[in-house]
Amino acid sequence: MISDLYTFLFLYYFFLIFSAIVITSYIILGIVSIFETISYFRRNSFVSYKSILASPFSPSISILAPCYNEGLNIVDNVRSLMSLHYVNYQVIIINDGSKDDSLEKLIKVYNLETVKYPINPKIETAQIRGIYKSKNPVFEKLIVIDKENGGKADALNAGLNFSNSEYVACIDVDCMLIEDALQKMVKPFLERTDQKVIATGGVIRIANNCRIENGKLMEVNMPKKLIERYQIIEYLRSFLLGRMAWSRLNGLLIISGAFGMFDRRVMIDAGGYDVNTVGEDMEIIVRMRKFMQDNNRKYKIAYIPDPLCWTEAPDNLKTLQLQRNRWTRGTIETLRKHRKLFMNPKYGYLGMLSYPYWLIYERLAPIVEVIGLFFLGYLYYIGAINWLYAWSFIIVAYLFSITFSMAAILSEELTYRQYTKKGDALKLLVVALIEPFTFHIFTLYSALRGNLDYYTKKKGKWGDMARKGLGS
Amino acid sequence: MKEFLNDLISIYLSLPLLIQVIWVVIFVELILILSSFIHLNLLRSRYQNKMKEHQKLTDKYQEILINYIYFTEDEIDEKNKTTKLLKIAIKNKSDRKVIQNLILTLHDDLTGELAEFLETLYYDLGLVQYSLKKMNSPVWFIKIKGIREVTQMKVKDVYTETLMLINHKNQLLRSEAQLTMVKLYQFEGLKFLDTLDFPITEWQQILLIEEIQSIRNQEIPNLTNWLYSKNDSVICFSLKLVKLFNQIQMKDDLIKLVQHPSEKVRRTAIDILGYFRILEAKTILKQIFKNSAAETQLFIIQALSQLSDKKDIPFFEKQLNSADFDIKKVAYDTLKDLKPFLVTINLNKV
Repeated sequence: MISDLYTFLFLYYFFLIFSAIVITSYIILGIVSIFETISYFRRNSFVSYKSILASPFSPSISILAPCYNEGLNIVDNVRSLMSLHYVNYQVIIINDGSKDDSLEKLIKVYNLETVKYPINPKIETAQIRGIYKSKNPVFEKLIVIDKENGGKADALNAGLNFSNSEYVACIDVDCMLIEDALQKMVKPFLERTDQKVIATGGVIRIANNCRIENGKLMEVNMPKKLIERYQIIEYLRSFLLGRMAWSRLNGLLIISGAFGMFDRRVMIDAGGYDVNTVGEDMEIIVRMRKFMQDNNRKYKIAYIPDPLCWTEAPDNLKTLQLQRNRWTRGTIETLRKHRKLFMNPKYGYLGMLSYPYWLIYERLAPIVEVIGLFFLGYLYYIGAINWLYAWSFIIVAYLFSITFSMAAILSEELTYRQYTKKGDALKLLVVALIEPFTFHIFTLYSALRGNLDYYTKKKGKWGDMARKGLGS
Repeated sequence: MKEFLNDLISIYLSLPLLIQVIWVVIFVELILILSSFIHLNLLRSRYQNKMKEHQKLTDKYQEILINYIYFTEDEIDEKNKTTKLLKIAIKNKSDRKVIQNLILTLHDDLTGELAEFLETLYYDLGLVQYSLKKMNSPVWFIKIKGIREVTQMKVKDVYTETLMLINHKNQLLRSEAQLTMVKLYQFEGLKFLDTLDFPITEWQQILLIEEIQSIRNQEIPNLTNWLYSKNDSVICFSLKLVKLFNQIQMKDDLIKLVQHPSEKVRRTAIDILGYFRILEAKTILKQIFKNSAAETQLFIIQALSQLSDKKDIPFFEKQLNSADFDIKKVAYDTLKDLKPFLVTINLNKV
């Protein structure tokens, strides 16, 4: 009986303290991100990007875009990538053994022919079948690498081996970049003298229901489906509040795989992408940071809050669940692989702050939440529930979730104002109100499935998603 | 009502302390949510009204200003009348902001006589005083706005004020001051390099070079002193100017800089030696190759590749065994040019 009481008290205080720390850390992150956003806006309101457009001193950039069975949109996507406003860049498409006609379409439309070109074998990859360049000088920026299937990380490594640019921009080929995306992303690399910027992350925005013509974003619209709107709020919270704050603290542990720019040399020296994880975008950042710290080099991972990259979000539960499942497994794999960082003072912020935060609030939070729900159910079953306490906690947590979403919506309104149509604000508010007991439960379920799949060793390489295509 | 409130307060006070705290948090959260929603809607309507008002004023003054710049010499009365009208309008703050922005925007798109008309108008309306006031503001971003305005309107008597900002602790402010020095005083403005204590970022160097490239009909300044500056970024920047202006006669200075303590300076100097194809540099480049960092070795071999002749074949053959692929590739490409029929190796298997 005494031991039951102790267990009860332990769980009670554990959940109380855990929730209090979560709420406090979110408030701190929210406040930091507000200051960082204001500072970013002021600093960048004076920037002229005209000079870098034509300068012979602009650094070289390679866009690495892996492609697997993207035949539906590959031609338009490549055209869009080749029309970016930057002087010194190349587009490297890596066909990762597609089973459809992606390669044939590229060869036909862009008039490609095979070329002989030595590739740096520093990072091991699946076998390269051929390298293609266009016979038409109009498409001289385009290079296509055809290789055996090895997964997204392997395809990116092949591109990394081929590139000899100073910076590489790794993107999902189906994403749509805003024309001045490269200028904005390369700027942080060039404006630091006290520390080396090793990577820049950008905001990912949801393009569902937006009007896109010839690879250009013409009109931003609120998505029609509720499932897409949930993701709008989720992305706003994550990118405008979460990552902005982590960037300020120089503690970013992830740059979205959809769009990020990296120092090529540092990336290669750190060993390139890990092909044994589904969370290669997070893993490479952790490893690059670890590499810099091991070599006692001052570094920074920068973050650009401008809406530069637009992507198609899952519009059905099945695809969404697969995506979240993959994200969860990626987080677990990365954190496990680099577990030596945990509370390791040698790694400074990385070991003492970023890693523990991700472990507790990203990796363990869904599990803690489910245990909490079971604990509540158990208390109800034995009739030991105190409803006054229970309802008070439920209401405070629910309202906190809405407050945080509102802060993200306000932040968006005060900065980029992408959703300006009449009624958009109300639609977002409604989503914020119902999300905690609908979409959140779903993401919780997906995270648990991810855990289960990780421990039962279920794997998937490319995380297929049925694309409808942007602008189609 | 009073009774209800009293009951509510007594219920609240009878709750355990933790629950009392939680209900205070709930109350705060409710206020935050409601005020955010109200603020959101207010923001939207205020923004829309502001945009409407702004558009109205923009349409009104745009027409007046476009007519102004196209007035002919015979229409001097109309021109004076317009100036008088605008002088009255700028007494109103929002009208002044619109007029000022319109003049600056139009000026940005014009050159020659038409741009000069607008500069004169900016003076005549007294808008320069507002810009100078901004320039003296203690707030850095207002100060930058002021600097931009005076620079665009070619207000040249701000040399001392601008020079004082060259070493300001705010990076954006000192960058803006540096750009202003070049925009207003052209090569003469580059004197700020003599006293610059802070490093010039790569981004800033690109901006400065773009401005410098637009300077016409002026003698290129002597860059020698800056090549020996204590500030490494000043040396790198000057080296870029050496390359930009083809100052090949400075080859002796370039060769000396190959042994500079700063890796960045060395790399930039090596790159230019290769670009200018200065054969005298070959010996020293080969000498320093072995003990240089891999990245610098790449710069050296690229430069040597541009200077190579058949006597260098053994050097490049040796580099085919390098652990660095990029170095190996340059050696391979160079050897292909130097003895095309003798290179049969597969680079990927070297």
